[in-house]
Amino acid sequence: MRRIWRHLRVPLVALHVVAIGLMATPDPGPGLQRSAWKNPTVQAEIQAWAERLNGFGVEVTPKALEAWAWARAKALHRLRDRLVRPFRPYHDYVGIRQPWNMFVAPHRNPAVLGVDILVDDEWTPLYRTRSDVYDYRRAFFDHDRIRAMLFRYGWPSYRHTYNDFARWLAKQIAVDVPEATKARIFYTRYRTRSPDEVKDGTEVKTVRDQYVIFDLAVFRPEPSP
Amino acid sequence: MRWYRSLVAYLDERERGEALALFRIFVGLALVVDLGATAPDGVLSAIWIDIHHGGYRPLGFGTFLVQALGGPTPTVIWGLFGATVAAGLAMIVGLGGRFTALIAAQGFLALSGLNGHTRGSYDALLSNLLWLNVLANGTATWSLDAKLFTGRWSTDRLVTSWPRRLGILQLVLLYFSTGLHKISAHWTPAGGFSALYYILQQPSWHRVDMAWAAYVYPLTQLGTAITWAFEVGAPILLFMLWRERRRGRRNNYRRWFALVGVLLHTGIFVFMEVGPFTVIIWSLYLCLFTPDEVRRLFDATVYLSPAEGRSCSSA
Repeated sequence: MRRIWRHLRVPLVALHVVAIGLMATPDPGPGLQRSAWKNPTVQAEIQAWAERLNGFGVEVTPKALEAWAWARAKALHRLRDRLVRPFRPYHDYVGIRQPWNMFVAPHRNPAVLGVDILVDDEWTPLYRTRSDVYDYRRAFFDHDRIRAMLFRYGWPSYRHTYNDFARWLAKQIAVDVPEATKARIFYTRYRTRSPDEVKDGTEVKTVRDQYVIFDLAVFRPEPSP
Repeated sequence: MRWYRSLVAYLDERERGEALALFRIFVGLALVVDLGATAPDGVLSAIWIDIHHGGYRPLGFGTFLVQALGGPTPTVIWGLFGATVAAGLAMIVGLGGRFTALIAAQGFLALSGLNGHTRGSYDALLSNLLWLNVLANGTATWSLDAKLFTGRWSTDRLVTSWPRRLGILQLVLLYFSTGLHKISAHWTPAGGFSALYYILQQPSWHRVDMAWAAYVYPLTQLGTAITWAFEVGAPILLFMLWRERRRGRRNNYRRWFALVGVLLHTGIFVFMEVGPFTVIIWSLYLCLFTPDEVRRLFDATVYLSPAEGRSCSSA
């Protein structure tokens, strides 16, 4: 039996090695969204690479480079998908995915969540990302899974689920803050400052968007007669 | 067919079980820490329970195990959570061998796969390491199993080396792949090696406000260059291990690799909040060490006396 196992083990280990090796090949799939490519961070990357290539004597405009990169990324994604497909059940049922697209690029235009509540006809801040002052459910928001989720919801392609989350959050606020009549949830976007801007004390412009406003009365039980 | 015979012999090589035992303990610990952190503050209920039962978004039927158990309802999810944490604790004490590792792996896979929006790369890494624990005989020594079957916590029982070597391959693949993914100009001279500085400015990941990094900008540039080179150059480790084996004598590359990697992740741990990633990857680093080295370290720290008469094994 042991003799058979010694030989049987060779293809099984080989299968594992090939499966994780193929799965670890770079997959542009998660970033293949036109809306995401319009983000200023992505546009700045394309601009930087176009300038660098021009410096090397390769004449290319940012627009042409974007079109080329999009086509290549799609082709690579299709090829990778074909190669990985036979191993998909092994990946899925055993849990050997290899999504190592970590810190692919710094997000130069991050978006952070904010929550205001309406109390006595006046909007008051309830939560600001990483604030020690407006720290509603701070432990919840600081959990790494929630931070990963909120990072994603700052991108337009997640708008639908962001609305689901905002609605859930408004329900929690309706219970936790009985004096509040409305809640507004939004993202604040800004460009991160360069080292020189930090040293000079330059302030950067912030923009708020993805506003969702809820009337909290709908989440509270009707008072019994 | 000489290569095939060599391969059969390579996969049949055995070593003492200390390195794999330590690996098992750390992976169990990482699992318990990761899952345990989701229980308080309402995180688990919000992210892994369906919207109809108090969660924030529709999760459909959930992953295949959750679906088989009845869907992402509070009873199913908390039950699965309890079973997975219990399996993680059993891994730490070394009870149940591969079976508990399998329960832990499947339970974690089922939970972490429920909501892709709250997932991080550390989930995939932990799933991979749990599966390696299913393949490996991690409870041969330093385990409750050893105590139950032999009457001693520590045994001389030999285990196959290939699961630990797969751990080394996983470590190399992770770094090489993440290095290839880093296509941003900021990781290269084209972007002034500014990636690390700007990543530290992202509020989603930093531990505290990192504006002060502007005053040590050249150091962050050096860190960017080292990180990228270390990741893309990770396959050199495999070449050096092959060379070490061929020549039959140790070289220091493995130790330098471990030193740079551990320092890199210590830096990440100090300045950034990336969940349990650091703990999980440190457990993978344990695969770089042979059982003799693990034993020597254990003896030096616990008994303060040198180990004697250990079997020899290669990385």
